Amino acid sequence: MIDSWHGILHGLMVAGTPTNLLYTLIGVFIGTMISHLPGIGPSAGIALLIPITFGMNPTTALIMLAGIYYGCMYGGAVTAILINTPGDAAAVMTTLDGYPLARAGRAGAALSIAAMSSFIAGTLGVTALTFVAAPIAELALHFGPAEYFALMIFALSTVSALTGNSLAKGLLSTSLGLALSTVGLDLQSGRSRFTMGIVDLQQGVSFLVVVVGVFALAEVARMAEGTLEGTMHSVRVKGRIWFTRQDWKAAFPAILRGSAVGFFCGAAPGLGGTISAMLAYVTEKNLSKTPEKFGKGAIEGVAGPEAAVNADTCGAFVHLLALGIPASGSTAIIMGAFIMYGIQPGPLLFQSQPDLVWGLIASMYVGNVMLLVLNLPLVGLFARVLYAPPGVLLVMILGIASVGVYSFETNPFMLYMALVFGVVGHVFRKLDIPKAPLIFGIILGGKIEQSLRQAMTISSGDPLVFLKSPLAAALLALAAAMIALSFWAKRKSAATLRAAQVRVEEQVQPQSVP
Amino acid sequence: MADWVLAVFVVTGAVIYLRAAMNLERLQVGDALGPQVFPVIVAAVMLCSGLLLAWETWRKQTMPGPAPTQTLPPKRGREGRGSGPTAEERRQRLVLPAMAAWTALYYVAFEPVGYVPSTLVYLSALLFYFHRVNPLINIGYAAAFTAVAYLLFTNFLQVVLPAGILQF
Repeated sequence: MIDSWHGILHGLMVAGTPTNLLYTLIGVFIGTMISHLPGIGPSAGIALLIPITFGMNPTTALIMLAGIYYGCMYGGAVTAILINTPGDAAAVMTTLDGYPLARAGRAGAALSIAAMSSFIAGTLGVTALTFVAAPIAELALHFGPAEYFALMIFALSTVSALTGNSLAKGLLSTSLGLALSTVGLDLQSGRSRFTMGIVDLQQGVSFLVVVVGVFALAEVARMAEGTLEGTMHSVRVKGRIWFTRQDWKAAFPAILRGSAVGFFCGAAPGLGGTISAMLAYVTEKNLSKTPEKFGKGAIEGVAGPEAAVNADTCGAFVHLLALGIPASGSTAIIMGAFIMYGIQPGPLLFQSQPDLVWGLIASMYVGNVMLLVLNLPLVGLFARVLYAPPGVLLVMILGIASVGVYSFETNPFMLYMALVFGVVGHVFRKLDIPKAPLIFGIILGGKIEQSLRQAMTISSGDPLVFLKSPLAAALLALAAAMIALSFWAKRKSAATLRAAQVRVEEQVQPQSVP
Repeated sequence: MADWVLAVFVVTGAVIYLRAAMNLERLQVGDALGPQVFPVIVAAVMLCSGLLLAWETWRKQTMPGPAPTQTLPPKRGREGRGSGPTAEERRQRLVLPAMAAWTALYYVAFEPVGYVPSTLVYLSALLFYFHRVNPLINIGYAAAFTAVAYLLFTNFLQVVLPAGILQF
């Protein structure tokens, strides 16, 4: 506890330097802008901007990337409320009540409640992160290769089992990611694997190329389809951007409950913001004395999910910083950025890079305040981004993605690879294959193999090493249980979400953007 | 149908990957497993996912149940009344492949032609299609983006972008 106090005070000094304050502001500003661009979520946004952070101080760069992430989650509600299109997948539940409120002329109340919920949940979430991450990291210092292997298998199983509508597709995405992680030089034997004689593959398949292709380029394809089919439609902000006392009275308990649900979901690998938002929404509806209002413009239906989504981002950082395991697609991309800067997230990070860890955590407090200041008075101004021509946006995104990927190694091969992964991402979307497990597989594949080989070497080739450690055995059992449960259970959560999406489609009367 | 094709594709891919993994040289000096074992495990998981997908698809098709809510109803025809695809829809289906081909051409030309000219032409052509306003405005957008990106990457990020035909 005292260590955490010292750490956060030190972190505030790091985050408070003019450069870091500036990049926190830039990060949250870009994140908010990205969240207002329909179709471009945090993963695509972070992937697009990673190349721009090369050459920067890693702490500053990661502060900016994290700012983009939580800025994006913070602002995702705006598109959900105004155009009935979630700025990121997690905001889908916000559309259910946010958009009806907007259509009833209460867009200002919905937007301001969403901003307040995000601020309170974000601050509570960072506070919990501050005091939870360090003790977990200390505990994780005692993990050996067998425990780490089991922990990563558990994370992969969870993300495979809980993401998307099909266990098979989750496993397929994970195994494809793991297979991609095996391409290139095997670091222990020095032998090439699966390079097909292509010299550019000796260093492996670049993580950046995969995320830009699968997220950014594939999103461009989706935007292109949306533009052609005229599915982007908008409602302009009318009235005062503030809420009434009655709204606040109804929303405040929902914010607190949503924060708790979101943080715990974020701290569990694989659950992610979408599920936490859904759980928060269902909780609010079940607790409400007027559940019939939900879906027609209940303010708690905006406050609960928005709080959950923002607390979830903080929970996700617990895993990333303390264990070196991502909790969602976006944190997997941020973890990839850590690795690209030569920093391995995990328990040792608190000892080896205290400036970075505590500076990053402290910057989230600062970033949350910045987001509130930016979002409440300027929400109307930001909302104008929604009216930017989608045709221009998608072309600019293609331009940024292309030059960003090329700048990584100044090698045109990377561009070809990005295009291939763009096609893969598009096929994934068309076939309803989740993308997050693919990124998990690529990010964790190398570490899983290394831990497996180390554990087997230490045990002289005895596979029972994974069962002799109680923790490893428990984690492997949990992983198996997760897969088995997913196999037998009817995916109610995914079905509920899909029903919400279908309902969103039905609620709106499309007005094509010219 | 798409899921059946995917399942077959995954199983085939997994078998090819497994075979390639089995052909890896066995080197176990100071390493209990060597470079072969992990890819073999991954291939096995991939194979299982393909078979599981086939089973899931079969079960979905054979088991009676509530109306599927997992996929949105396909929009067909102008009014979504189940009529065949319109000429516009057929044309739209070609847009993404054409966009991918145009992007591939841009990437091929990126170094020999140079960043500035290739990007200007590439973006202008896309804007002509996706943003149908005065062509000069679109050229202006493309030129502004190219110039800002060039200055950002060469001056601020110290990345050398290919000069191509503008190399004097």
